[in-house]
Amino acid sequence: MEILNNLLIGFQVAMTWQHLLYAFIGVILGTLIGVLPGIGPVATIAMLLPITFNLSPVAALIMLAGIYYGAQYGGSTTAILVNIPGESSSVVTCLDGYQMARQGRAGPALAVAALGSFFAGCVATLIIAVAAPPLAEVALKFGPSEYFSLMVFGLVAATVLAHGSLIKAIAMVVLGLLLGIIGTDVNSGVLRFTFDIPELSDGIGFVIVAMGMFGTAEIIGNLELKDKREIFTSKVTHLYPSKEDLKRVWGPVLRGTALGSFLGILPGGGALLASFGAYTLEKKISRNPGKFGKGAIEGVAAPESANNAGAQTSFIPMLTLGIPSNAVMALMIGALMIQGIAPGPQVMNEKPQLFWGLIASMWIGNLMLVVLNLPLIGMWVKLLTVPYRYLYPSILVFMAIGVFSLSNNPFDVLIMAFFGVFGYICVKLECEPAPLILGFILGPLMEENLRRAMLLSRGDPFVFFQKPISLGFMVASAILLVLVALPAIRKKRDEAFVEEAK
Amino acid sequence: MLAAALLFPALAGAQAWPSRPLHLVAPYAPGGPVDLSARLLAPALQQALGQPVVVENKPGAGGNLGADFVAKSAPDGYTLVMGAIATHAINPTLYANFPYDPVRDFRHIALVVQVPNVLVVNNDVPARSVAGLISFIRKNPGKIDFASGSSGSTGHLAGELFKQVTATDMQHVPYKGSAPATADLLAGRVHLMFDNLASALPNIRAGKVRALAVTTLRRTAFLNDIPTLDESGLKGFDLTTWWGVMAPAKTPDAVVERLAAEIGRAIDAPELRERLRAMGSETPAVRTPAQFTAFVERERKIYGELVRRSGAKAD
Amino acid sequence: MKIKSPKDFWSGLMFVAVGVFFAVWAIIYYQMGTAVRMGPAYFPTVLGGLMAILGAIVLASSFAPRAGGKKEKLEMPFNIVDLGIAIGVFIVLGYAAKLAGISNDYGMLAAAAVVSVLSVRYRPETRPLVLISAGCIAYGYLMKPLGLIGATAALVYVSAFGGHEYKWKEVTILFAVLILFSWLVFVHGLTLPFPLCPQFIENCPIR
Repeated sequence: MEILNNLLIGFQVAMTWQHLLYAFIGVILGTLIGVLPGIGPVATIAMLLPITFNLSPVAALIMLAGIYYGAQYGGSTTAILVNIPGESSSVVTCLDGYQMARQGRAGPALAVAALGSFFAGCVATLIIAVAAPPLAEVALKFGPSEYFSLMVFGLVAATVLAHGSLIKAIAMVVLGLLLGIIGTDVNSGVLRFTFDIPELSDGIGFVIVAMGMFGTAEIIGNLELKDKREIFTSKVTHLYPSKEDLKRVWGPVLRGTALGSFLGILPGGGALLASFGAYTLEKKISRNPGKFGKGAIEGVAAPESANNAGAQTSFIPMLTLGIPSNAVMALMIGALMIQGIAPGPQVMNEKPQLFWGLIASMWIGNLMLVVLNLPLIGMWVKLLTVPYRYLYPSILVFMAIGVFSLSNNPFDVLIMAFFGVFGYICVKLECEPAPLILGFILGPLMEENLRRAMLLSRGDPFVFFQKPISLGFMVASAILLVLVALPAIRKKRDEAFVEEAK
Repeated sequence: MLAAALLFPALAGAQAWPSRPLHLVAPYAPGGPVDLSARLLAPALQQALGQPVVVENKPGAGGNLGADFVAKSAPDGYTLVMGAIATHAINPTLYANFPYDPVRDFRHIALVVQVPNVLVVNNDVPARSVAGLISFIRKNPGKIDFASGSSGSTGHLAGELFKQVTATDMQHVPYKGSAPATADLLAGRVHLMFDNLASALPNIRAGKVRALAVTTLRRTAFLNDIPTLDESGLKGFDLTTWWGVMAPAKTPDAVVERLAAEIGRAIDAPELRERLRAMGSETPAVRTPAQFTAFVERERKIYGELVRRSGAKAD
Repeated sequence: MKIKSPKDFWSGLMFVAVGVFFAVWAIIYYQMGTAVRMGPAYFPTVLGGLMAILGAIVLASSFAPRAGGKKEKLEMPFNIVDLGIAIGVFIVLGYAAKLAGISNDYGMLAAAAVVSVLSVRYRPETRPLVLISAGCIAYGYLMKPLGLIGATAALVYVSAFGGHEYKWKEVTILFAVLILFSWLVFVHGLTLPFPLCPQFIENCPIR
């Protein structure tokens, strides 16, 4: 079959010593910056760009790709260990992963994250190999109306994330939506809510909000507890997941992989939605949803598989159409262009070594990552035993460096401190930060697509219900809304009955 | 003798620069074309000057933050900026509270990249030439959409100028960057776009979109058989996207001259020239600081007028 | 009416306040457009309104009796007046710096210092909160004048002081380790353009 032939070419390319070395460097570097909060693959790849000029295009792409999906692995490490999402898609892993670490189960959490990511990476790469061009065509079918409906669905799903009061969760989502509006309005070019502060004209960076609300707020919370804080060390149990863990995990991994593979194709926010979506799905179909948010291993496995699958499939639009799905892909396109290769529809046919070599190298990279990360788990768990008074200033320094390096502007650090205080207040008031984060990311995208859809349809609001994909998501949102609201209504009714009966 | 002794400190001053690393500010996020060019130029400059040249990203406000930062930096020749058409020609009119003067607050050292824009249409649009396109638009008044990478970008303004000159009516649909705009163009959700050459080229070559004209006065070597808008009847239409190295206003002449010479040498050198060509940029015609300043002044006036007439605003 | 759940009360109040703020600001300053061609004010107004309504519901529910009849407790080491004062200090000193013509950076630093001192003196329970935040702010704004070394020192020492168990010798060792690591990995390895030495030292010996 042609595919086997192509794969053979690919492996021949990827298995040269040179390319293996670059893949290795890429994934190590990626893991490192994934672990370091704030510094992400975008900044790193940008900085390493001059080095890639002297490499062949294949080697350059292999290394840069390794950095990208390596960062996904590393990002989950900090999310689990210290509640700081290294990557935007690791936010969801913080929810249950960190709780697992507090219960002494950091080892299993990290292991499951690594294994799930590996499985997802393999499957997703297979999907790219087999179905890249048709999937790209599907991606093209997503226009503004489809995106909007997808995001409505995502927002309804966001309310499932909460394990407390539903109304407060919805309010937090709306607050996130509002915060996301700060900045330049795409459709009109007007600056909104920037109060004459030029640094706000491109909005508040996601990384800053996430680190403030998750990282700083958590540190402050821990310091407040003083000795009442459960010391991580006393309860470290096994380093590896138990048989029961593995049994519980295979379903979420499969579902997360499927969701992530599909959503990763969509340019713009696909991979991120995938991890949120996977978490929501698991929580909804789980037999005891109450466990989620308190250390459910499914809540780590599903999002991690989803985000790694999404990271791999987000290469598809770039490789087949030359359209970057996110900033990292844009950089890679830039790197390729400088090498004289214009990524686009021709690349698959004109440069099969590049395409298939990259795919083969992704498998190898994923393998390297899991081989690297599993033994490291012991080291990470040991790290948690460092006395907190050494740990937290270090975390703060890394966060501050990471945030500052984003645009070399102290204002960003000020905002991070602000969101730290805000996050602290939210925790005290029992308002959850996760729905806010999701609203924050989805808000501007939703508005942009809504207005663009209206612009293109010349003001016809029914366009969302006329296009098949869009209609599908709208219907799904309605169903999900009912499913979400039903238990809450039932609970209120039960409470009311109890009150009456008394 | 006395004259020589008096001259000596001045000479010594000029030769002592550069004695520490230089910062080249890219006023955009990493990965964009401006940032990429800065990172391409930096190693070459580093070799020529013997001091590290560090690229610093200071994104925000469409590039104004980075440009403003350098405008207000010490004019000692150690802080430079990659000033672009956005920061120095378009934004001064586009933004209401504009913090610097693009001509007077800077020394314009060397133009590095100049890229034409291409008028591309979706393959289903029944037009094979600019004239055909104009009649197509006239037959469907108010129904034609043109995409752009953002409000106030060259793609947007090129479209506005096109509308004015041809007296046609199209609806502008802004996107966040050229990539999503291209995606919708490919899918046929918008009809046409003025995209920059580098990003449009792969799809043109693959036949996924149709190129009708380029926006410069002269044809581009990459698309030899595509006419210019000027040739197609829109006389005098000349729009490029450009950026180049600039320094704060009071930077000493000796430093400016040296930098201009080194940068000019670097972009002529085969390696850098090839890489810049890969971005769609041919060697710019503007070669000296004086020419560059005159160029910026001209562009500032042209785009100021365009922005005003198009009514685009960033509040 | 007694507040049965202070948490809900304050959250509700916060939601209402923020929602109203966004909606009103949007209506005043930006154009609404129509439902068909939405202007920049449309979305914020709708969302702000929605949030205010949700906030009102939460607020109202804070007066309702809880299931089981328990009263919830809110343990907040500061009250709303303190918060107002802290924010006020930042705004005032920010403007003061602008009026005085010096860079806004120093205004923010001064504000952080003032709030830290005030909170340590009058609301000792807020020490972790204030000092950690102040430490981060100090890091950001000291980077240019004092370089990486100075900024990291400020962050490490201030945040250590914000904790409750610190010995100066240990903190200093920690600082040394962190600076070394930062320099190796970030400045040397990732070539991030951080100034290492303070501004007044012309030629930094370390690169």
